[in-house]
Amino acid sequence: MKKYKNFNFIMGVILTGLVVLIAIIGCFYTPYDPDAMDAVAKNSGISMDHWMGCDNFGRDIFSRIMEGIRNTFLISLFTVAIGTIVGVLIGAVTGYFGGWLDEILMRINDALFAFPSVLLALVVISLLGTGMFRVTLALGIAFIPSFARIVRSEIKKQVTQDYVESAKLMGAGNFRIIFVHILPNILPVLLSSIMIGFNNAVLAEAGLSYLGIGVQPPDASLGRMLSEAQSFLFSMPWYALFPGTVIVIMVLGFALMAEGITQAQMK
Amino acid sequence: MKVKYYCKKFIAMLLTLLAVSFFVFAAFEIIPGDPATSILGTNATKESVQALREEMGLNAPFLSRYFSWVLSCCKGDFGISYSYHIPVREMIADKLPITLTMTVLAMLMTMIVSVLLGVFLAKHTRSVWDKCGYVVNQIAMAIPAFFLGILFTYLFGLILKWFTPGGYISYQKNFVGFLGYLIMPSIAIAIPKCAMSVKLLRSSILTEAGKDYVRTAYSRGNSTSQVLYRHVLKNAMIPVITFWGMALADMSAGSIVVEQVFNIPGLGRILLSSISNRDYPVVEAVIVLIAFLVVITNFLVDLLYRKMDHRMQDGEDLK
Amino acid sequence: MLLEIKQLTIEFHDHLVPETVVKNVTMSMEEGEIVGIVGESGSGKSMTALSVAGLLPRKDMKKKGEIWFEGQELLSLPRKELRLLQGDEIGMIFQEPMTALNPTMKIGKQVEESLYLHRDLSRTERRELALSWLEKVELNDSERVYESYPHELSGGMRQRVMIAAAMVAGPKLLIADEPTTALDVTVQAQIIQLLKKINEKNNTAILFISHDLSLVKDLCDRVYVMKDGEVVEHGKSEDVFYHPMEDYTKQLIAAIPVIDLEQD
Repeated sequence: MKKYKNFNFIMGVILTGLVVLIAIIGCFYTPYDPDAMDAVAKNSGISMDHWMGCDNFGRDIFSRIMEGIRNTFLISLFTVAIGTIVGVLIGAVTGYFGGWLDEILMRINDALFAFPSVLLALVVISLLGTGMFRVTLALGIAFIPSFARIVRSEIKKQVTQDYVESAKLMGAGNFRIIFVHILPNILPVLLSSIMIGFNNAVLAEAGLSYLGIGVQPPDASLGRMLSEAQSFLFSMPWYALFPGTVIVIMVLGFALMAEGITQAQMK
Repeated sequence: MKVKYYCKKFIAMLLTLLAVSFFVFAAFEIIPGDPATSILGTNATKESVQALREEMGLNAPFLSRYFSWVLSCCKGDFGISYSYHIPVREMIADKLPITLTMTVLAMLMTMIVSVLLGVFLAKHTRSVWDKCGYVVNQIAMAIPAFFLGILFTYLFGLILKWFTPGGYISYQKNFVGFLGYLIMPSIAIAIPKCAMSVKLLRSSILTEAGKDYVRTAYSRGNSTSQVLYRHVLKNAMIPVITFWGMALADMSAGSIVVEQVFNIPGLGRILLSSISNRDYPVVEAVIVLIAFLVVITNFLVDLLYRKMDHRMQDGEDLK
Repeated sequence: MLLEIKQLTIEFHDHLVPETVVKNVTMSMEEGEIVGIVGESGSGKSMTALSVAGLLPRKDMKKKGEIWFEGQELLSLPRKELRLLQGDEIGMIFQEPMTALNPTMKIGKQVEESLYLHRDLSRTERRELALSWLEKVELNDSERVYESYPHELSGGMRQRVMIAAAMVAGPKLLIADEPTTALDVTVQAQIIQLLKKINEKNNTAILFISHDLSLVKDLCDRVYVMKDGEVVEHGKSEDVFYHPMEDYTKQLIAAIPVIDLEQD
């Protein structure tokens, strides 16, 4: 089988690889302590010591961006994990069995799906409170409906296929059929929706943190840095430019990968 | 037949609204904390708290409280703010038009620009334009609206001085100035959605262009642009319109964030401050209001969709 | 002579090795004549028909030879002038009536489109002509058909609509590319009868493309048999059907199912 040899996918892998690499390095090493304040370097510009300058507290922006990428990455990862796992469970069960449970759950799901996920996350955050852990949970919950919807419709398509019938005849249990037989077949669709979901999570987290109800200080976050940078937009525009660009690169990388996968499937 | 379908859709819409409001109401019931105590403060006597609870109807069973809340919401009464002690309705009444105007502006821009660009790119496939358009599109889809807002503030506000960042003009004072100030934020909200919409329309046009009816149209002597505008475009718009429906919901949420960038006192600011103040009646009201708008738009999009795609209609067949 | 094809050769250039789909085809048609082209799929019969209708894409395709229609050479005609003939002098109907109509346009508008493009008529005049043609193709309740959308009609009805749309501007030549293949047998026979009637009443020449020699025998005055892009046999359709000269034609006749259409 020819692997996804297309430009989109390769570009996406390069960009994402870059971001992941920085995130991994950021777990063990940053040039400066992201929270250390250096009174002398306050608001200093780009220099050899501080590649991206320092913020108004004299913290090294590059180190904070590294930490921010790590945080954003982890939050998005767990968000998508929650969304996918619960979404797949709900979608699989409702799509496979159908019936009244399906009707009720999907009605609820439709109601929630019509609702922008950022707003849904806002509701959950206003219930749970802010902070990294809670934001992850809130976003995760907010992402369940869209995953459940996709998985359900994909499973509905598969249930009528011959291989499901023959698996039934051979005496496979329902759960074995769902997870061993059907799930691998919907994996490509699931994979590209996971990537798109990841992007939405990155954007949502950045938005929430920008609003001040996502990641809380002292934890660094790309969105929060943007809102802090906005007060210094005139004197040091690079402070806003760097974290913003990093978000764009992160999102672009996954979007290109998802596009590459879809293109490969269409061939 | 048609009427029956619309009734069905309308009832489904009401049910969705009811479900959303129930979730929101139930969610805020679960969280610990007593509204009466939060209004009166922790120093209040037990008797006065109990009296207020009785007055606010908090002692009634959950379901009856829910339905009385829904009923008063329908009348436009969303309760009283915990932190400001004024009716929630007063708080949001003059903010709603701001957010609404911004979202509608952004939507209009998206619709107009994406149709123009989508058609242009589809007409010039495999040209340099198409390739440039593809790259610009991919990047535009990846930029969060609020970051675009910040870039605009810097570029057009601080460097080019086309507008005063943070200098929001109230629509009650100067409506034209108000619209002028909303243009930049609306563009910021519109660009990512517009990019997606352009991409969708372009590929949809190209798919349609390969269909049999296009050949029929050529066989009658249509020119290429006549085929495009008389035949292909309408068919190609069908998936785009579905996308617009979802985009509008996203834009209304996006406007909450972008309002902060441009310091616009819309629904977003109220929602945020009430979330941090735990002012639940306000949060509930704003959420339900936005849900209402989203559901209504979906309903309207559905009507438009059926107007365009007649295959969806369960009309009588002549067969 | 209405139509004269001389030494037509069509080559595809989208692969490394150019592929010749039509080789040195020469054929002619008189006014009001019904001529059939028979062959298997891939024999180049549709390609020949499409090139007469001016519907072959111009890129990665090389066309040699001449197609003369009413004193004009179609292959060298500029696109703009070719468009003046399409729909006006040359009408065309296709194999798939299910997809050949625009799903979001009312039948009436599609039927009268050729008039809109080629004639200077008022809206009501166009409508009247379209309605009269819907009646001529034996669609009852023409007013309602006029106002309906393609998905509301059956396959046979759609093909009638296609015929009405192709005929509405009164073309001298109607090209029918396997118009009955997608339809069931009874409807097939009705459409053939309809084409015959149109030919008699309007003196419209019909170029009828089919893989089914028995249909061609019923309808056409003369027939060309094509194989691998070349004309292998031609003559009066009765002669070709009952006294085929070529082995290929004999095979085509042998492939016809034994059900005799004339019994019913």
